[in-house]
Amino acid sequence: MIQAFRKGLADENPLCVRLLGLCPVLAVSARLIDAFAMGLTLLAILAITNTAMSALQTHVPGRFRVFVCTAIAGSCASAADLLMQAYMPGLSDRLGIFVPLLTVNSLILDRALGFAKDSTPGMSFGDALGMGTGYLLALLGIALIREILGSGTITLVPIGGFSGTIEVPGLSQSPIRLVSLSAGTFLVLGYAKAVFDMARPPAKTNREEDKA
Amino acid sequence: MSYIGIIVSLVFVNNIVLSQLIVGQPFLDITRDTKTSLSFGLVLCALSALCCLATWGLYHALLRPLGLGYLQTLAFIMLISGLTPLCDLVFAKTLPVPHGRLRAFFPLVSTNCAVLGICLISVRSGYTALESLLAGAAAGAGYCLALVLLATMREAMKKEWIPRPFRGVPITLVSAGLMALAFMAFDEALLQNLLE
Repeated sequence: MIQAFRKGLADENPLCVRLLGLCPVLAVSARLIDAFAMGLTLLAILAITNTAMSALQTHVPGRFRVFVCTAIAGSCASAADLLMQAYMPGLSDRLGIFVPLLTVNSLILDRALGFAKDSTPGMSFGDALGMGTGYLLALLGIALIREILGSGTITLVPIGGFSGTIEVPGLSQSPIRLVSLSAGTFLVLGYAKAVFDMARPPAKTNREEDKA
Repeated sequence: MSYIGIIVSLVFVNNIVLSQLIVGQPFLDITRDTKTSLSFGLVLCALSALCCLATWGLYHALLRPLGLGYLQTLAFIMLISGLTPLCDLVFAKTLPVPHGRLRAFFPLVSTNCAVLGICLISVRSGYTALESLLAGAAAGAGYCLALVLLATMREAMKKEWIPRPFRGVPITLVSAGLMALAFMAFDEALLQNLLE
């Protein structure tokens, strides 16, 4: 289980290595706190769906697997959406349609249909936690780059006298607006992936190229 | 909102991929050649129009009268994943051309963010039945347009030398970004001028 957890953090990091679940990354990475909320939501949904699919594996016939998986993920995503609307209306407005869209997130489908098929519920839970945390960290990285460059701020949770926003000197007066637009998301993600590929051992990079 | 407005807005101004960023996984895998992208785009366009109409019917006939609006995500995804195999069967029976290659696209469409996304968007914007159908078709067409343009760019780039770390996925993402930048030329002002 520990091994399954660690794999998601580095070697098979869903975002950096395999580029799974692009939809929320592209959409919510303009502010750090939104990205954090989205990452946590995805982590929770992934853990529930993966464990449930793994526990149900003997009861669900192969051709209904996708159906059952989307049903579980859909219930969790609806619940998350409604909870957010009730307790955090501001956040819910900003994340908008992307919380219900987690239902068909490719990371969740990939893990729940691929990995959970032949592993124990414990293993699947560990795998989901690893993948989810790896995804969360990568998402936070992208969001940090985008927010610093795009708006010159770092948005955190307001506590006490702290307003929740740190302004980066220099950049907050004249930010690079392009980065915070939708076009900038693709660009930042492309450059981040290139830098990540460059930092990785060449053997793996070659394999990736053959596949792509 | 007028019908032309919906179409222009969803194909160009609020293109579902490039501006609303509802991407869906096959975007990077399928854009390797133009022909595959075009056929996938057309299948997605047809199915998203159909799903949009069907989910409109489901929402207004069943969910809203019963006060079950909060179940929309779940009900929609169930409907979509039931409807796509059905369409697959109907296509297999009725299409004159063999559609073996197209068949592989159906499961990808049923788990595509863009289809569920446009169904949710059109219900939440309170469209009528015809408007939903048009919105589904227009969003599908916008998705298809983005796929085909990106695939064309990728084919053109095969002849160019690309720095090693950028080969494969990164350069595709960067080109998609530049394309999104180009699509920003279609803005709200253009839409308003067209409608007046």
